[in-house]
Amino acid sequence: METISQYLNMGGHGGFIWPAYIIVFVVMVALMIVSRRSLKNAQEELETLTRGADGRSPDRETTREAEQ
Amino acid sequence: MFHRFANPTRFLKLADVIQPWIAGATLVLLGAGLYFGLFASPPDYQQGETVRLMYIHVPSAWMAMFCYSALAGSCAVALIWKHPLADLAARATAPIGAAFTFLALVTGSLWGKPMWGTWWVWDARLTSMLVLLFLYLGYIALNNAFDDPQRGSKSSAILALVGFVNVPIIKFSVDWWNTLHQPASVVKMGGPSIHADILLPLLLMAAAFTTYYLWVLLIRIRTEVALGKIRARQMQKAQTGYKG
Amino acid sequence: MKRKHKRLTFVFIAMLLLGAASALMLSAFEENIVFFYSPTDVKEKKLTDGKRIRLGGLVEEGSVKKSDGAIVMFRITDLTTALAVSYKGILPDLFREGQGVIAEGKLQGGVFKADEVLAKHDETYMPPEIAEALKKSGQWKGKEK
Repeated sequence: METISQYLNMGGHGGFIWPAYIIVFVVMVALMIVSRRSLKNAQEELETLTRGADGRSPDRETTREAEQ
Repeated sequence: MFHRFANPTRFLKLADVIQPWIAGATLVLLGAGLYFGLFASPPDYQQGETVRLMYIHVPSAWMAMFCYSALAGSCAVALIWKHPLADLAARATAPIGAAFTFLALVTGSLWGKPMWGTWWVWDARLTSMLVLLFLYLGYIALNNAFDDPQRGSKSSAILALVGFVNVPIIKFSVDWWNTLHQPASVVKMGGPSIHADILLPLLLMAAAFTTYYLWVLLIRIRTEVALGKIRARQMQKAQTGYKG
Repeated sequence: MKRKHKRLTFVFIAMLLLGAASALMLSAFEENIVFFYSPTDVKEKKLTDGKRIRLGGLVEEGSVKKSDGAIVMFRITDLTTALAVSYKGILPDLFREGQGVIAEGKLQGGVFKADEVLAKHDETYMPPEIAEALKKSGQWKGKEK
């Protein structure tokens, strides 16, 4: 226990070192998540557009209209 | 030869193959870098444990400048040869570079307070780095400011090229003027003035940040390719008339 | 092909002009970009009393004297000229004799009255044991003894 808190203290500078590492981690992970999500959204949108145009499997909008 | 890789379809095939390798390399390098950086390396004789801030601060700053050079290079290729992929690469790089610049500024501030005694000073190095962040933000804003994406990428590419003068200014600011920031330790004449035990985690983290950049870059370029196709389809639909 | 070459030349010339313009501007504003003056600069330029400047250099060995009232007296040297500094306040962690320092304040009757002191460090990084060993073997190249 003693050694862990001593390690985290980083010679009295833990208050600067750890926040810096946390900020870097948060920003890098957030950028990765945002980039992946926008890729997924774009791919899904492209797929619905393509299917709608080909008429092979109708997208949600046309299905709803057919049901009415 | 250049044209072969500038083809988005061919690029997507290549990206599919290399992306898992890049992702794996990033995780391995990051793990090793953090292990050596936070556990298996000695403190510095002057700065003590705060030297560990270097392992994230310096790679962030390097990547900030590397991304800007890549951005300016892509913009030049897009302006001169009008390669479709160069424009997408520029647009995909800008947010990553802006993130690294932000991180370099924040971690530098957190390092400056305990070591220099101040969060921020307006010396040539720190100020030119802040200018770099504004250049990135300006590029992103200008790119999205036009309804016509082609005009947007043209004007923002010119801004990116004009802003490139800032990159050598950042690099050499510490040699040309008196600054609070110390001169270069690694990339300089006569070899690095960093002991191998401290240099190892620094280089590992720099490699990890580089592969992280490539990883996110691939994802973002794929997004840009998909968005381009969506735009093309929507235009096609609008022209043929949408029969719902 | 012709138009591509035209664009290439245009971008190249524009970058060249831009580089030249920024080089000119930076050299014109040199005075303002300089973050601090060395003691020799202060002496040569005869910077008048009362003007707020930053003074940078090394803390002269054996010059640091702490008196009561938290006032610290030391001398900043660039190894040719030294200037006496008085400062009241908390010194940064890295403030030591032989280390780089930047003081902000005014020159008053030959003494630089600082109200802010920042530590400047060099670009050398090494473990403490290595520094110790280098000093012992006499291979020490640093400014600090």
